[in-house]
Amino acid sequence: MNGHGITIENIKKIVPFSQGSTEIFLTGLWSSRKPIHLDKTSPCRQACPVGNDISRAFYEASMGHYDEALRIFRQDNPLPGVCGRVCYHPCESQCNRKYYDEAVNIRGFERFLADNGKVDIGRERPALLRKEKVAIVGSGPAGLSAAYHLARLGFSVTILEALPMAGGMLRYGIPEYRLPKGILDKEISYIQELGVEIKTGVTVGKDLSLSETRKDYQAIFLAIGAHSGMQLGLEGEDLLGVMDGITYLRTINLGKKVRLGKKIAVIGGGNTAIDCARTARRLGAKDITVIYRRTRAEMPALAEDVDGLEREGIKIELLAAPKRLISENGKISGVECLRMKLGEADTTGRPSPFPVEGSEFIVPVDAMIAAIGQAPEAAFVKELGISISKNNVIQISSETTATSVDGVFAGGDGAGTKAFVADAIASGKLGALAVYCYFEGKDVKKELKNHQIGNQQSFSFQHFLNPKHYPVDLKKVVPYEKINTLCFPHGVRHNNPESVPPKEAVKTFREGTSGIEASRMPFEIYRCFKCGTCTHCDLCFLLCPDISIIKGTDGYTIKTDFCKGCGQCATTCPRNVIEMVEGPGGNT
Amino acid sequence: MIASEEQQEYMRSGHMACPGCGEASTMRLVLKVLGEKTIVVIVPSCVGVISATFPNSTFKVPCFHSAFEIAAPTAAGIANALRVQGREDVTALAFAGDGGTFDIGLQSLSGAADRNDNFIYVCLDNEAYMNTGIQSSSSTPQGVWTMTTPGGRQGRKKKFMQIIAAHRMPYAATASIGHPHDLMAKIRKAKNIKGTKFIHTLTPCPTGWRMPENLSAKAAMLAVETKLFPLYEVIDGTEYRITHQPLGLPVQEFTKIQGRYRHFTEEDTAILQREVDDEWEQLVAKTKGCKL
Ligand SMILES: Cc1cc2nc3c(=O)[nH]c(=O)nc-3n(C[C@H](O)[C@H](O)[C@H](O)COP(=O)(O)OP(=O)(O)OC[C@H]3O[C@@H](n4cnc5c(N)ncnc54)[C@H](O)[C@@H]3O)c2cc1C
Ligand SMILES: Cc1ncc(C[n+]2csc(CCOP(=O)(O)OP(=O)(O)O)c2C)c(N)n1
Ligand code: SF4
Ligand code: SF4
Ligand SMILES: [Mg+2]
Repeated sequence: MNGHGITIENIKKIVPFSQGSTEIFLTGLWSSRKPIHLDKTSPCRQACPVGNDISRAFYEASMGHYDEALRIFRQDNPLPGVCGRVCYHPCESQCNRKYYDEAVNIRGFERFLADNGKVDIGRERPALLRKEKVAIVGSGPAGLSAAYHLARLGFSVTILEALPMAGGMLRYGIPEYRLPKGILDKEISYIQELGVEIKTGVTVGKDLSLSETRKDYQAIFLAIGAHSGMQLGLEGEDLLGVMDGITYLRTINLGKKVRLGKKIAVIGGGNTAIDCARTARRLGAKDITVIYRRTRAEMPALAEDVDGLEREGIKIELLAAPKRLISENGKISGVECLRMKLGEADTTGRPSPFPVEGSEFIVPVDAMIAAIGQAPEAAFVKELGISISKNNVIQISSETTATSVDGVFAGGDGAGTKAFVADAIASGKLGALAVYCYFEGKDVKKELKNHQIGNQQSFSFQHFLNPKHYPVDLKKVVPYEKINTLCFPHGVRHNNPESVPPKEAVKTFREGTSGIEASRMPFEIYRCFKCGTCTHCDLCFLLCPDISIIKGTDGYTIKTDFCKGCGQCATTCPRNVIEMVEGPGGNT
Repeated sequence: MIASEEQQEYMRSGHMACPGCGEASTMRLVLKVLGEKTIVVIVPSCVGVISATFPNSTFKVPCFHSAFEIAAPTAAGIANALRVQGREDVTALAFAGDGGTFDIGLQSLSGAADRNDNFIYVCLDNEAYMNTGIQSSSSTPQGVWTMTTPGGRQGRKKKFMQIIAAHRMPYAATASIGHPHDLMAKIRKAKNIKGTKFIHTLTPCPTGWRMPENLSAKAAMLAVETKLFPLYEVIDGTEYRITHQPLGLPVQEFTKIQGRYRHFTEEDTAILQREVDDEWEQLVAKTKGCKL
């Protein structure tokens, strides 16, 4: 019965009547090309050193599932609250949306989730505990990350940390106004909840020798960072009022007082230099000059932090380098500088500066902070025969984190990885994989390749744990040209608002930016294309002229008997999930 | 999100539409919304061939194949018969091409609309007589190639929605498969309004538009986003409402993917652009002072 009571028999007598179904025509035979739905990888994810599954997290968040989105981040990243604040966000530089209007505020999103999402550590605890014990030396991001991932794999993990509290540079380098300690404490506590033991106040090589450690634990991951400030190599660096940046920040973060005076010069253009200047400003110095030998474009510090510095009334003397320190009564009183010019690019690709003769000028100071780089304190590892470079960097294979000694691995700043938090976390994660492979007798390089994201060094931890239940093509990265931008209205990016006006900022260590407002967050989530991640938007399903896409509870299947292979679905999918393939295809 | 009662399909696979046919996807969506209690009227056109190759039908609902020029009065007749039987829960629906609507079916459609008979008329506009081999209709845009306008059509595309609005029927709208949710929402609305409802859909035709078959939905989107085919509705012939804010892309984004525009010079495109901009402004002007 079709509901309106008119039967076929009524009309059959007067007109020719079709009673058959067109389904007897297998129009699928018209073409051998069929669509296949398979999630791909977003360029942001490929660019993220940690390998965060950003597009999937955005997709979950778009349905209001913030906790699940946070869980996705935490599959790869133990420190989303930290990265959500201080990461240099290489993901955003590769975001496809930047070609359309502006990159998505991915870092702000990560922070939002970390601050507002619930973490269910229980779900991360491994089902099976292993008997092997692993020691991690150093509790910076590299060490914490290795510990987190190893604990999830069931290892018994102990972190040995020299300083009174865990966190490395996150606690003793990066100041409170950029990374509140409370956030760090929270994220470290989750790692401890996973069963990781953190022993602070233990300096390996002093309180405990490395060979003793090697005996007590079946594997070691060295994540010692780089805590020794480099010297300018000028006469007078032992003068009163001269300090290196790392020591300055560490002393303050240890809660001690450092009195430097009103007029301060900071040498360098990296994060440490900028943070030293802004910290000194907050501690009362009125007249601060940052002296950097190249231009602003070459400054390694994050642009937003340099902006903050300028807003706080700190001067930047670009294209200048110290030549001589001037003293008065054993105390520094001025820095004689030389003007610089930029020449050919050096090995890092940045133009190398050279001095302009006779261009000397003097910056009068009460104190000077040199923040031109830092080196590891790695002499103690030689005890086991581990090779280190002449700058004290532990030598490792970048693909496996293995040192020259069996069972000892290393990562982070101490092993010469890119000196950023995200890269340190990435090396800790790779270290965990390496330690796992070491015990399982597996080839790390092969494992890395299997779960590698795009052509980068990062890998998907979730894919590694359960490749069958994580059907994503990690190697296919969605390019902008494959996004169907017709499906997306333009929209302005939501930046993290300033929480303290610059006038106030110089008087407080309170965090300088706040999270994206909960009422605005959905708009930024909506701006993300969700490159390569099927959002079950139904567009393919609705457009199919041949009713050949079947909608199931967790995806779509293709009726290959009828699909004529037009390929509209693949061309129109907003986010490049569908591909046309020769042959049977059609499965999800 | 698709409403649960719209999960059902009332069109079957295996029909004879060309790969990538815009008419087939439009018909499918219309029927998805109208559901089982629908009687379809079709007339000669690709629709006829798609839906009913005797003795097989693609529809799971009753369908009456009428003559080319009388889609509207046929549907009106069915609607009136249903009314007499007290079956006003059943929707009478007419599908006709642009040839069957803009040209040969205009008079009879006008009459039915004037009587405000209770049916939905969906014009599947592919901008030419496609079924008989791509001959130009009064819906073919100016300058466009067809078999009968090898040097490009002289006449201009009929502003059909203005004719429709002039009838002051309760509901009229434009829609396109590039925006399926908008299309379905309009059909849903039409279903619940008594009287004559007219939906003008742009249904890209890879064969007649001389473009690859994977591009029809994208072409439909581009027509909307370039403002060439804006999505709007007209209530009682007077109240205008734009239902989708277009991105405002240049018209060549739409024309450049189709062979029927291949001979367009930069000047031709500039003229087209100006016309599109003008018409958009006129449309926006019509929405001023309207409710919503
Ligand atoms: C001031 C400053 C600002 C920065 N800002 C940013 C930023 O905004 N964004 C960004 O991405 N990166 C930033 N960085 C860089 C980033 O902090 C580092 O790259 C990162 O912390 C390196 O991590 P790690 O784990 O290798 O080492 P660390 O964080 O340095 O941790 C090493 C830990 O090992 C411990 N340790 C060392 N030797 C021993 C031993 N023998 N026994 C026991 N424990 C030992 C140390 O005490 C320390 O806790 C900044 C760095 C500084 C200094
Ligand atoms: C009275 C009458 N004249 C001519 C025809 C031949 N005919 C069949 S389909 C068709 C073209 C229909 O064009 P259109 O209405 O635009 O529909 P389309 O095929 O493009 O979908 C023509 C001219 C006919 N069937 N009946
Ligand atoms: S649009 Fe979204 S998924 Fe795509 S690159 Fe940007 S943040 Fe990643
Ligand atoms: S069109 Fe939508 S539903 Fe279909 S594959 Fe793409 S994202 Fe998924
Ligand atoms: Mg036609």
